[in-house]
Amino acid sequence: MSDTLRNRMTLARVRLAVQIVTLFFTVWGASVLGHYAADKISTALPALSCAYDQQHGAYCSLIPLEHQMHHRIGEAIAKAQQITLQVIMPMLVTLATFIAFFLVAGKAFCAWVCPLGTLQEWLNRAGRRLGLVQNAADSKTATRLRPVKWVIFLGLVFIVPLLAGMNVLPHNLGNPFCDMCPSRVATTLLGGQLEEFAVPEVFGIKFVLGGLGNTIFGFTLIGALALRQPFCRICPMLAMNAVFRHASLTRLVKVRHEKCGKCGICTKACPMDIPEIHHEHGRKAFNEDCTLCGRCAEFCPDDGIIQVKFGPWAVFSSNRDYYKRRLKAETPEGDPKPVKFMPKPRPAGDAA
Amino acid sequence: MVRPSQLQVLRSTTRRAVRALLPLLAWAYHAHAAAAATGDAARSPAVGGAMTAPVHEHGGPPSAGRQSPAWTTRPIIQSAGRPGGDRGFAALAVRNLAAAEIEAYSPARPASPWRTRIDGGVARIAPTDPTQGGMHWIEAREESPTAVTVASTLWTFSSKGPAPRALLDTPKSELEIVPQPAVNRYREGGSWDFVVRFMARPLPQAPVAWETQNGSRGELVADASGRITLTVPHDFDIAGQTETDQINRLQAQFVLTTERVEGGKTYQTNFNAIYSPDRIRGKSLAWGGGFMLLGVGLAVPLLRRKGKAHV
Ligand code: SF4
Ligand code: SF4
Repeated sequence: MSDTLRNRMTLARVRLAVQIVTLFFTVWGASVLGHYAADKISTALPALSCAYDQQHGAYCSLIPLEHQMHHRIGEAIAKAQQITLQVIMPMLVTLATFIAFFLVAGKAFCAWVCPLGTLQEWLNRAGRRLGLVQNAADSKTATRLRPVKWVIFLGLVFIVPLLAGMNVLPHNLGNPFCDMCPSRVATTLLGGQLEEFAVPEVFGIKFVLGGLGNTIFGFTLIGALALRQPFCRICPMLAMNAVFRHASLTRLVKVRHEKCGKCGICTKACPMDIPEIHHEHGRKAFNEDCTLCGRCAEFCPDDGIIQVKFGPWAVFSSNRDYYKRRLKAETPEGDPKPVKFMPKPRPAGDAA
Repeated sequence: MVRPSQLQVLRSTTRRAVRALLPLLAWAYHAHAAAAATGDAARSPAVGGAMTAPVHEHGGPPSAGRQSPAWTTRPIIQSAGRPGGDRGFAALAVRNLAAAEIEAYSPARPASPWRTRIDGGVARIAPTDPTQGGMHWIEAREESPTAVTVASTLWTFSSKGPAPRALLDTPKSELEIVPQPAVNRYREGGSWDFVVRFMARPLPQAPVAWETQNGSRGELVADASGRITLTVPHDFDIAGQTETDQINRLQAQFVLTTERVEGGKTYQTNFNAIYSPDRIRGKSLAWGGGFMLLGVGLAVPLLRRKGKAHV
């Protein structure tokens, strides 16, 4: 690989390319692949693909989970039926498909695939370019926020749909998270659909959940200009990915290093403001909030301390030269360095 | 080892949590009772006029029932199964056509259709291979020396099957109305293409009459390539539907009809399918925008706040 190419090929750029492709695929992919392929792929896509499938709409991995809880497990318990293979098999198949996904890509789903993650990241870049003051969660706030995503994940993806299926809660609480998901609103709007942005006009559960979704969407839209990944911090996908993160093939590895105590650039670089990547090593450093963006590894100034690994292979390893190069483009927090417009040097022979 | 003081804290926290949850559970039961009551009301058959049928979200076309009258005088094929759909087979009834059997074409082998007798008004159709589902073409015909009348529809079996491209390309009767592409569920306000074919060739300028279960009707004329575009009208009456879920569950049918006289014989073909309300029915863009602005307002302080600024 030539030096110029090597200098230009940063992990951030590779990730940006993947994000552009996945954003395009999840938002506009259906029109490219055609009607029948869209039908099939939409049900196979693991998550956050509402805009992808205009025919069925609002389909992501949380839907099968909510659906299974609501229609299969919940209704079966309500009817006091035996839990037969007919009930358990579809549930297991659903679980198996996305466990397979999360075991391979793992946390990388968030920083590399999720369209809402990408949008928030780009909005924050825009905010920095506009010179807005940036807010960061200190370690206490970041830690205190953590249970929220678990409450949403367990409550709105498992328990409420289950209770709705058992007829303990109203039937229209069958997909509560999807009804308030800001990604559904964002991606469908990008796909030119207004249906998901509109909120039910009659006051009721759907009105409340839809209204909440749009409020979160509005907050995320503006908040992301001055705070990195505001919605990610409470996203149930972050929790779901966290469950399998240590079993996943793609993961973050940090080894103990003497200099870490005085450094902490990794936490500054981390869009999720994770203090553990600075203070811990080993399993504890790969925190439940990590989105596997790899910024901590990119901005770690020492060789081989933080690695993004796939199976036994290090996909990326922190490295002093790379760190120096990376600093030329932006600060660890993500502030762009001023763009310098240098006049193109004239060839020597051109001199008058 | 848990200390007694810790136990006390735990007990009082649990008590407080239970007390806080009680009104929530009471509300949940109350809300559920109300929802169940409105749900039952919506499920009872509509009296007179169109039979707009609320059915289970994941079911097949509206159930016709064995004895219920057809909503149209045109030949159609309707589900006669359970409202939630039957597992593995389709119970189908033919209306307004004296047909003894139903013919089914699979997407995997469209050249090898199979026939099922209509028994007691209903034919039970199952895919030849239970692992090969997907969209099937279903057809019934009545024939006399002077006329051939065909009713046709599409039925999707839940197990996966190939895309129905070959299925649609294969000629299945003399005169056909073929959706392009095949759609599981049509929606109000959507525009959809169909091709009229006669003896396997597109039929230019063919007149096509359409009619919906909700009472709309009209006529279209095929273009030079035999293509018509049907824009499904907004004709669901959603008055009294309080929840978007209820509105989304509404289904009705439409039927397209074309006729051609050739060699002293009248050929008539009908294609019927189901459609649902526009996904925006019962929703408000103004409320959507209002809530979004609320979120924007809540985030604005972040833009001004002198927080812990990054370098
Ligand atoms: S945390 Fe949620 S919103 Fe953020 S990138 Fe992951 S899935 Fe997307
Ligand atoms: S810990 Fe590292 S990889 Fe994980 S989110 Fe933070 S910067 Fe990205």
